[in-house]
Amino acid sequence: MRPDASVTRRRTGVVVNYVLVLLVLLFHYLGKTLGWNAVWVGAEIAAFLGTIATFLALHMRTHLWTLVHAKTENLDERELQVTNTALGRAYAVFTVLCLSILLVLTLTETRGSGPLGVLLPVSLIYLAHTLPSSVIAWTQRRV
Amino acid sequence: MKARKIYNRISVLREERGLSRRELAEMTGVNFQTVGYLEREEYNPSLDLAFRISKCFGAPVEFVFATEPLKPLSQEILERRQEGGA
Repeated sequence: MRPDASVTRRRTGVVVNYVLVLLVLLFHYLGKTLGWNAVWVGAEIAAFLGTIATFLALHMRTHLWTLVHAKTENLDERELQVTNTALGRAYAVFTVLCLSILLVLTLTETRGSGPLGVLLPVSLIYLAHTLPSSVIAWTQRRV
Repeated sequence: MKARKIYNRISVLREERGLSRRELAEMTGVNFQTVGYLEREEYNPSLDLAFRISKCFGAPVEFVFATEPLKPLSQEILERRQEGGA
């Protein structure tokens, strides 16, 4: 994806990227609960590779990752405003999502993160790191 | 509080002086994308940036930026000439 990609393309990239993360979790869950076989392993690897590919296309090639992770002294006033707003929105979304997951785990009396194991916190850390640039990809007409 | 829209003549003045967005960005210390945002009036500059841009064009800040839609330069020059002649 080029840095001047349209909002529609960037939004599609955001949706595809997070759907692939969910698919990794789903295939892992199915593998753990129904028993691992070549289908679940293959599907999980494919979803994982797809996640990496869309991450590189959406966050790295568009320079959104650089924008969000740049030092403040290297950004101009508009970029600072954009990144601050994105970080604020990402923080709100992430908090609501974490609380919802905790609530579900509590209501289902699941210990830890259940069959997902360490994959759930890993996915949440991935989400925490990519949400600000996803917010910019979603909201800004031009990056 | 919602900020008022700030109108400007950056695009006209930049092209008149034969500057690219990248060159103006370098002169004012911002990203060239920010110059685009300013020209499309999608971003209101800080007072500091407004003064820096005006200084680049050698014009008073109120000539480059305004809170009301700006008249075309040709119309403004004609009006000023008429005021001077009257």
